[in-house]
Amino acid sequence: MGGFFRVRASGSNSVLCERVGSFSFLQSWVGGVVFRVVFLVCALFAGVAVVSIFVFLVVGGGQAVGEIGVLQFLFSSEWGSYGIFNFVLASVISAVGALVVGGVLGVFVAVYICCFASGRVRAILNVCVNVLACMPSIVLAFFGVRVVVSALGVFSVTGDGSGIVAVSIMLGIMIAPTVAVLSKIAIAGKMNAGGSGGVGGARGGSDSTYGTARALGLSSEQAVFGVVLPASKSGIFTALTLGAGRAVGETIIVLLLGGGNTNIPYAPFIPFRTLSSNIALEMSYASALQQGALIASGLVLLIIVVALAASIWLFSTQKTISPNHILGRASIAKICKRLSQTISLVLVTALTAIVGYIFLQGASHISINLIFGSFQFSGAPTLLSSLVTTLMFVGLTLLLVVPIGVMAAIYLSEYSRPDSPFYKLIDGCLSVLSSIPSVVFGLFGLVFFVGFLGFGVSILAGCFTVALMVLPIVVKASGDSISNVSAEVKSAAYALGCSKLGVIVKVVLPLALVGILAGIVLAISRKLSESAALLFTMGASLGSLPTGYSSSGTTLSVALFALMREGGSAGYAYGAALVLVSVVLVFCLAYELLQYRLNRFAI
Amino acid sequence: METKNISIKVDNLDLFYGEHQALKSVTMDIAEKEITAFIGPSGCGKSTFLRCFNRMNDLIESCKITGLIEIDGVDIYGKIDVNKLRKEVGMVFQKPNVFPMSIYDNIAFGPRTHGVKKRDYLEHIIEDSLTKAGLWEEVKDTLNKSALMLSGGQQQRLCIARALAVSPKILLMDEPTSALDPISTGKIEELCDKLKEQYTIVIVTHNMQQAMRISDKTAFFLLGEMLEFGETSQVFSQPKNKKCENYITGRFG
Ligand SMILES: Nc1ncnc2c1ncn2[C@@H]1O[C@H](COP(=O)(O)OP(=O)(O)OP(=O)(O)O)[C@@H](O)[C@H]1O
Ligand SMILES: [Mg+2]
Repeated sequence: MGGFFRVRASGSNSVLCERVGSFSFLQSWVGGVVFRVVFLVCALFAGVAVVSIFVFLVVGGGQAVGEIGVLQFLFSSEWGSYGIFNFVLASVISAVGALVVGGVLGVFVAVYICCFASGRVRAILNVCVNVLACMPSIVLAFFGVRVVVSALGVFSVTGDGSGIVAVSIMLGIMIAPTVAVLSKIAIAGKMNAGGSGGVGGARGGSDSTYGTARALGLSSEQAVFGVVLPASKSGIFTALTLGAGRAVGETIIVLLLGGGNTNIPYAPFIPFRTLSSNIALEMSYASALQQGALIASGLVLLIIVVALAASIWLFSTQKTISPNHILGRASIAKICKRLSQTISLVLVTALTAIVGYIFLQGASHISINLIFGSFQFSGAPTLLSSLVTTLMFVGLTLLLVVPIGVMAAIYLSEYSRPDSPFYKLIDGCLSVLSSIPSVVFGLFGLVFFVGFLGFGVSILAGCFTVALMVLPIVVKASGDSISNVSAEVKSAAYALGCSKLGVIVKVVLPLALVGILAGIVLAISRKLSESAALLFTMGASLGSLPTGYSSSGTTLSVALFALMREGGSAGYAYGAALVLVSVVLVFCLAYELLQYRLNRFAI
Repeated sequence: METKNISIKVDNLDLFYGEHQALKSVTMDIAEKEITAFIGPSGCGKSTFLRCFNRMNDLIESCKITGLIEIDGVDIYGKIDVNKLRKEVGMVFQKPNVFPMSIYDNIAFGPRTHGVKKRDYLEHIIEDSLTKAGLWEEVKDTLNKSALMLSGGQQQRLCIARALAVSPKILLMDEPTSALDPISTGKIEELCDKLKEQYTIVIVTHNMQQAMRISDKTAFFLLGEMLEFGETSQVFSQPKNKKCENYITGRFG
């Protein structure tokens, strides 16, 4: 006897192995090492991406800023001599405006969902929030221009309603879901059973902050506004900060609703530009120095957004819970409850209005010819080339991002510990990547893929740019569902002599599949919605059918944008909006269903 | 009385989880084709010790081991292929942890992992191991149904069959019946009795009666130390160690 599992044992006396012992790559030492390296490289990719974005923006903008002078660049309000001061200020003002609208909407809706709404109402509100989160900003901008700006025109002396008010309203609606979703997580943690609080726990468990407050004899609304809300302060702060980050980075809404002048928005109807809308307005026809200045302003934008995200780390440490006595007063708490109910209704109404408007208007303009007719420069525009471009674009980005994203997630959740420096580094890079505004991705794509790698303005360049953008979504979703695979099931496989790689391939991935799919679907809906990153990487004018990945093209979103800028036939715009919203809604609902399935059949 | 071959030889084993010492210089010989039971109060290191035999502790990063464990004369912490070791030393866990796949795929998982591809051979293995685990008659018509449809007791026997399917020599069982009803427990105990003709079985149990009913040898652990080890009948009737006696008679633990 003996020696049967020695590495170099020649006389294996194991019946099974002797009879069949064929070589299996998954089981082999080589396979383990090779794949470990592959996974590692994929995980490192996120870090490389972030670093190269910074490097290329610094390189691309550095020379221009040197020529202009740093002080001139940052503090002059003359864009004629490349001073961006007005834009920075305008970005800050519109972010504040967005926070006023979106912060109130988001936080109160989250409170209502977590603390008061029951059963069906809660479910409906949740779906509304998630659907609103999927709405492409170009669609919000479209609705803003056609409905909000026209309505506001009544109050404006010039009759033009665009300006900071319209921008704040639509940006607010845009960031409301972000704020709501993140606040919900914070509030649910204090509301639900199980201390640290899963969103799924029963409401008001006796071990929750809420339960404790109720046990002290507070009414439900007193407990919510006097105790739970103050206790969730740091989570709500995080939500508002990320919301502000999204607002600062948003391009399309500001560009279409804010007008075009280089003013500071000091009054409701002054046309203005932010850092991001300025980039989108001028990048496509900018000459050398101007282009450098724009890239440098993209870097400034990036730094603002990353600083906002970093402030969460610095300031969000939870101190001891101190109840708020003003909000906890019975009368005020009652009013707040009413308010949260009303504001939830406002959110639902806004969503219904947006979707309803686009469906009603779109339905009366849409026709077979509008969708499938072939493109003619003189004739009526059609959607066919945009549809084809969209398909090509979504397909290739998936091909680029899914393997890398999933393998990076595998490395993070199976080969590294969450408290290791490597994990923290990559995780940090991924959150930086996910907070980078899309117009900055556009700039990077222009400098790196279009210029440096010589892809030209093409579908290919657009695909690479947006692949970077959605990478964090895929990694996050896959990582979450991979780490959720039950450790017991994994040990069963290990105990059968399965190698680590074998366990990952044959047990972990199949069980994590639904969650990974959910991430992919979410990524698709982000890609369909994207426009700012594609304007100067993939093309911004309507054209004929793409002949391959090297031709330029417009996705549905960009087509809608181009049409609103160039002012084509209204029917085309409505039709494009309708098709876009329908497709996005399909993916959005598919995501909801997958999530639902995940929560029902959590393994 | 016949002397059995030694299957597992443990010499002066110390095990640490970080700073915490979970096993203290354990020395024992486990005989082939017998049932050896580990008993002792919760947290005394029974599971930890069991996991040493198929190196499942390798998966716990903070875990450090010194001392010697030989299986059939091979130092299993020496230069060996851990996956092959685990194929030779099967394990059944406390909670039935079937894969969320069909019954067929559950059993086929191990053989496939170790390179069995031929369908008829796989089917032979599946029938054989399900029969040994006393489950064949109950599931032979529903092999393609999800294993999650089975009752807890059936799932646990499926786990045993799954472990048998890679033809191990040793079967480690960590409280295999603690999540089961008395009838299922009885079935698994009968099964153990039959399996020991072919396999060396090491079983952790909290149930003193169970240890008495099925095991040939019993080891008593307390705070990481093995305080008593011998013939089951002798350990239960006249334990040498006072603490062991107290535990067995229910005075603590
Ligand atoms: N993964 C681990 N990391 C750190 N310490 C551990 C780990 N697993 C077990 N321990 C510690 O080792 C000691 C022995 O644990 P073990 O699970 O082996 O006990 P046990 O005898 O099986 O108990 P039970 O009867 O409750 O299953 C305990 O003090 C436990 O806290
Ligand atoms: Mg145990």
